[in-house]
Amino acid sequence: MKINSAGYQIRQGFKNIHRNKLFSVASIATIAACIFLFGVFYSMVSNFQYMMDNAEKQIAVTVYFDANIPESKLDDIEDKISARSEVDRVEYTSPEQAWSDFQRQYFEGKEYLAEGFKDDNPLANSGSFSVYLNKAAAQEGLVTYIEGLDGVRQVNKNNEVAKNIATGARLVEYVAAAVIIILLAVAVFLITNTIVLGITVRKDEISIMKYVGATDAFVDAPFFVEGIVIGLIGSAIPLVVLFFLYKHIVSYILGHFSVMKGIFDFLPTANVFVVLIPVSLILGLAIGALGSFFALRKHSNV
Amino acid sequence: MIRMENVSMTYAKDIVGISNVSLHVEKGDFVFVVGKSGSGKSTLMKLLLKELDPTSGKIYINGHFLNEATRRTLPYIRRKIGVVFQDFRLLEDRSVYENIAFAQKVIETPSDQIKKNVLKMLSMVGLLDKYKSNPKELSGGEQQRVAIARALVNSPDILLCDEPTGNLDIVTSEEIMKLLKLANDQGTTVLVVTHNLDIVQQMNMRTITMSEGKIISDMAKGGLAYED
Repeated sequence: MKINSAGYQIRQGFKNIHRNKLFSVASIATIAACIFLFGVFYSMVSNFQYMMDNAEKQIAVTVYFDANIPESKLDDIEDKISARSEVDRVEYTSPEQAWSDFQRQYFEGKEYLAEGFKDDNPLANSGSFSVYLNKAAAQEGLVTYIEGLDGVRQVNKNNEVAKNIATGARLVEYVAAAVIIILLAVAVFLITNTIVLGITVRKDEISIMKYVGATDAFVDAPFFVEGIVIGLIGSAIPLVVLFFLYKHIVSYILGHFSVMKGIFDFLPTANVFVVLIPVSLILGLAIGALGSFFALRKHSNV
Repeated sequence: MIRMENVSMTYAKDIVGISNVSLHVEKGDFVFVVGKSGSGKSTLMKLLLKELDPTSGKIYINGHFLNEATRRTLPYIRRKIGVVFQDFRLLEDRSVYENIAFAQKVIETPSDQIKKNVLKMLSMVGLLDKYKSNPKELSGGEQQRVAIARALVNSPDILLCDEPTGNLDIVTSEEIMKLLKLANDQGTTVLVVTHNLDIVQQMNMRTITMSEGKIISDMAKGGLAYED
């Protein structure tokens, strides 16, 4: 297509929007509502996942070793575990540290009880690795792997917490995906109807264009422009609204409910929108283009 | 220029559009197709524009085998065919000039050439002074002249006219026919579907008569095989 014609097509696309003002506004509003809800879900899911990730990272598998295991063997086990992709970090607790933690936890105020042990460490064989995961769901496989390592005596895991977190995260992802897919389908349906209306209004013009030898691409281009512009405007509006809402809601919650600070760790605005802006704009563009495509496939034949 | 070989076209429920029609129109010919309502004239026209596909038989236009034209190739075949309709089909949201220029724009003619060509066409159909007018402000005859200018502006090899005088009085019809003859004299092959027998007799050109989907006569000069 020539540059001259491209300018003509773009102008025609904007003219179409202007001609069907009411339907264009309705389509923009629908897409805006969809993208807004998408943005709300995305913000919730990404924050939930962020919190889940943090929670998952608190899940640790405790690895105990054979008695009198040499230090080089310990290093070897640590290296093997650290090399696993599902492992976030490995922390070593020496027998001395374990004994000191035990005393602090159980003998507080009754320190005399520990005196009977003097220099004899009853937890001499209780040195351990705390292995922190980056995905709770990977715990089962990791435990099996560690249990098979030479020098490992016992592996303690927390099945329940890991399972619940993994299930919770998956459930939220599924629900969000289902709602978003339904909303997007509704948006595509509505934009298709708007474009169909535009095609109907311009039926005579399209038929003349085809009689005098306009190519399909030439006839279709203004409708794609119309769909894409509606999609982009429809996605840009909620992004602006969401940006300010997110910023203010997070700072309001953290400012007024300081108790939340320790429980909820919100993603910074920039981290949410660095993904949300391009994804929403691409979604808006795709909804518009797809709506135009469906409308043209059915209605532009002469 | 136009060749139809044993072409039949049947609509749904076995309604016959045309049946076993063979036709040959040479370059530079001026041909009338006449016949009563339901004789197959309109079906013939739609087949030549590939609005319909034949059930059987072969159609060649301007050297192209129309049966095998695709969505991709059809626009380029149509660029060499001008079409004029009974109801003019002008765009009422734009001026006379824009209506004619529109036909050039959609085939991506450079802007400087569009202006030149449109003015030439306006001058040919005698509407230079009305280039700014809206089609609604024009008489039926003037509107048809604009439609002819739009059909000719892309310099087609063939001009297909479907009842071009159907909505016009006798005087205006004669003016329109003079314009079509002028286009023909300049080398365009013209095929006119009409039931206006007065005009056909006046023009004294090759006349094909259709009845019940078949060609019942093909006379070289003004001969008619049916009466209205």
